[in-house]
Amino acid sequence: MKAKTWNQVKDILSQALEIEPDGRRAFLAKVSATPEIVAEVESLLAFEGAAADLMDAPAIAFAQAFLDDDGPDNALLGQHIGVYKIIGELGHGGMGAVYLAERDDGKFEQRVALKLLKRELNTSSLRQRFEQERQILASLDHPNIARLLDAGTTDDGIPYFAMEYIEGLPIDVFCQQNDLSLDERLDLFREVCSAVNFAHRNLVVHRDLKPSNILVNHDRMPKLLDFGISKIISDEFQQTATITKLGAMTPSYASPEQLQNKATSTATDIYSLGVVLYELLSGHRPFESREHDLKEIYQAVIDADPPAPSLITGTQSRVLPFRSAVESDGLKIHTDANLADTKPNVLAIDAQYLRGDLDNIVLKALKKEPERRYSSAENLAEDIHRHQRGLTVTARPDVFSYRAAKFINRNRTSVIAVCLLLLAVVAGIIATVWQARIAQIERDRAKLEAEKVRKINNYTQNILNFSNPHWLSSNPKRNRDAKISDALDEALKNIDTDLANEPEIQAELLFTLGQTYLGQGQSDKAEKLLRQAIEKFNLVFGEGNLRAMQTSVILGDTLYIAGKLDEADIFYTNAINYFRPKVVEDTSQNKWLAIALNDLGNVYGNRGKFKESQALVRESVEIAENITGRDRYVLPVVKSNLGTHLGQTGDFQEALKYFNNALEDMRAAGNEQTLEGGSTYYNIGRMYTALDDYKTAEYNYEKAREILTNSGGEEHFYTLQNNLHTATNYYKQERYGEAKALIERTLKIQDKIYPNGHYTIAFSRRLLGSIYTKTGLVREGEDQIRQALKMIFQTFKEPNQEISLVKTALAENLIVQKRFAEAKEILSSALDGYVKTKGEDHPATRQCRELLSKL
Amino acid sequence: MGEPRSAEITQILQDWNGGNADAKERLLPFVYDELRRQARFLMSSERSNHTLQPTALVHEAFMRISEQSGIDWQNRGHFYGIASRLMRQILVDHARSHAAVKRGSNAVHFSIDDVQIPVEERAHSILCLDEVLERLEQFDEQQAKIVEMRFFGGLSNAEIAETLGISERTVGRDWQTARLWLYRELNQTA
Repeated sequence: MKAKTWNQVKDILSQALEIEPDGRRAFLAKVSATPEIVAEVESLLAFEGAAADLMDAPAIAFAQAFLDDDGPDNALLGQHIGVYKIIGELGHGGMGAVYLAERDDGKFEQRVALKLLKRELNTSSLRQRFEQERQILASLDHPNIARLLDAGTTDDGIPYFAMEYIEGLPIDVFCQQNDLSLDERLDLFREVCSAVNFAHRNLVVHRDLKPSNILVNHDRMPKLLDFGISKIISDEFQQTATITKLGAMTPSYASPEQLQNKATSTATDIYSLGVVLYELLSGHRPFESREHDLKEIYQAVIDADPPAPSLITGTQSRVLPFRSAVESDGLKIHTDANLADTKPNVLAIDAQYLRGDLDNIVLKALKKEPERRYSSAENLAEDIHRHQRGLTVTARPDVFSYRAAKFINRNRTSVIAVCLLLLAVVAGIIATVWQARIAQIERDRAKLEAEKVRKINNYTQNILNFSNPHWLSSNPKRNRDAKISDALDEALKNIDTDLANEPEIQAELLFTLGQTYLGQGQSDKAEKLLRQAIEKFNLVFGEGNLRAMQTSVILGDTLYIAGKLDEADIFYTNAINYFRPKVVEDTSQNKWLAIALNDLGNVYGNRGKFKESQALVRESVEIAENITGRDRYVLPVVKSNLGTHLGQTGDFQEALKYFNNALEDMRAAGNEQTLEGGSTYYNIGRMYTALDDYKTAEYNYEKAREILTNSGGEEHFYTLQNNLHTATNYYKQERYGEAKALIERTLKIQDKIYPNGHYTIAFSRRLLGSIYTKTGLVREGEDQIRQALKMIFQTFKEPNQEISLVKTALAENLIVQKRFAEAKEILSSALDGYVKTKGEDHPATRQCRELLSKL
Repeated sequence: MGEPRSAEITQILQDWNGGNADAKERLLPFVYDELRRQARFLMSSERSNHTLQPTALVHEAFMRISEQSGIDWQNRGHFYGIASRLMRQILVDHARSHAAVKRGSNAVHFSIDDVQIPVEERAHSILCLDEVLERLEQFDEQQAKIVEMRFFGGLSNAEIAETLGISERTVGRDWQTARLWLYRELNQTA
């Protein structure tokens, strides 16, 4: 062809390609060109569909198979290795080649996949290792695990192992080809989990779980390959292989701890299962968009929160997926299936089925911290099963407080992490604003919404600019060191300018940022933002609107946490007055009413008005009883809280009834291992301490500690509260040494996380003071208790039981010092407080009166 | 790479930066060696499901050669252009040795999703493409170069546009039309 002709063809062809197929005929008829040229264009256009995938992946991926110079050794065909005779080649890859072989010792017929390691992997310690592990691996007898049949070395010293030969397809390809429904996929995946669980119980970890290691055969039975093999090899070559691994693989299925060369465990497999599930649901891998760059993908796996599968499902791949030919080490390349006509993203399940439970389940499996993932593959499968049966799952979305805390804990957060958090914030807003609207509003209005989303996008861009050291910054260093709080502050600054004339979006952002600050423990900032949010909501929707009232509840919590009880009262009361009349007509908001009532109850409780507090929380329980669906999680929480308030007036048995009831609800919903479950256990413990049954109390505190350290960590508020109660329980048994050690440890943490003081520090100091009093350190005791008293007045006003408790402790100390007059005065005011808050009959009141009468 | 070679590369790069076009040709063997070394290095290591990225490979080679030579490249695009050509050469060389033991059909495949394609057919496909691409070069050198950079070099349209000093839109259009033509020709060749 002549260059000139081709240029014309190319020109017309490009134009035609940009026109919808229907209009091309008309276009070509009008075009001024010779018939030959038009014919050429038409001939080429016919290949549009067929050529769509041509060279869509880079040559090197395609050519990997033959780039490997240590490729298949055809000379091995027909050779004998051990009792096996090689009859074909299945493939080859990084670790070595895989051959199809059959048993040749006349004993019985058996086809095996024979894996020959590379020569350089042949070390004496590896051979030894294989020898040791072989027994264990060979005993892994499970229908869903390909059996390791044999292992040894060839005559010239090459390590090999023989595995059950499986005919099947990688699980992702299988789901795609058979167009499995969501339920079918989940069933299949649960089978995989049960196989993994079986191996884990036999103390075997896979370490290299990925779709190509999970084959599904014609009977729809998943079979896991290479169990235990990867661990042996990578343990052996950890030092030398690290660099190699860094250079070679896109670590899509590897866990953060694997990439960091930290200790791996069964949790590593849980992570990989999470990636596989992610892919089976959404058609994408969690950090697919960053797989083009090794550094980025490493960074992402280690630092970035993966997007929820529902956010990404069905989207076009940003990096074209390619499956390299030999990735599977050959074991998987032996079916008759023709994959040529599978299309990308057939795997994607519609987002509406993923949102919520499945998102949460997948993200829980993908937690960066191994201990926050599912504790076993069985639990993962169980949660999926619960979802399938419409039950509540244990996985919960990360609350902002957790995310924020995670960032705050790291002083210098990575740029990517900051971006992701903000993206999550804004994506959440876009999603709610967008979806809520689209559903009810006509087309033309939708355009307006699109404009809003665009504005939010611009806004996000500006935030991202802030934290990206490469972009347009006069001070890149500052950006690289950006902390989440800096980024939030910056985000705030721009709300007014970037989103002028969009008060609704401003309000949503203020609401979200306010919650984020609250989660960070910056309640003063949170308060300011939430107040502004309410103002803006009122501006948009008029006074007394739903969003403003929901925000009021959160603002109430903010004020409550800051110890501003009277102001909290106002906002809770407003919200209650708004929601209460709607309790029948709009049940969707009953969660908010129940929360507001419960929280207002707490305000009254803190004022010592237990009759009122019990009435409020009882109403909250009644309303929560009728909540259905997801929001029902509120019920056990408020039940447990009612228990607490009943305990305040000495109704310990009645309180225990509610606590146990709440625990049952949680257990039924699979929510026992949560912060709420843990705090219920310690509340039960407190009742038993009050009933002088210290043994039972201790059992419950122990249970609480286990759950709380798992779900909240050592530094969580509830964990610290549990420490205090446990120490009190020791104290009552006169086990002062244990009590002192525990409370000192607790105080250390409290001083660290509450640099400006906190009423719970007062509780701890009071107890420490009492311990000192009992152990002869009387002066030190007085000092601690007086500090406690000072601090507690920052939050509580008299009459208040906590103040009375501290005062009683002080009086006891003064009595030991024989300063009876002072003691008597203090004790009288403590008694006054008890009488007014707990009533005459409460044991605390009686004990206090008894002590006073002795003076 | 030993010391003498490193010094030699430095000299070549300086010549090149100084405007000596011939320097580019003299540089090729070194870049080829480096790429080949990198490729083998990557090939021999453990693989995961989604593995090798030519861009990473080319970048890596680029980094190493720049580091060793201490040259501050003014235009990394030049390097990409050269590297793509060399990647093609490396792949074709390998393909030739593997296609020698050809068996099975002569079908031409390029869909990476098809895990079924035997090594020999892959090799054969690469050789066919190389041949057809040579034909395209004869009447549209730039378009052939675009295909080379994208498929063999793994470069993005933006990188290609920058290297060739043309618009990204032109790159995109040339890539689309080239694929149609190549597809037709490949099928006729096979």
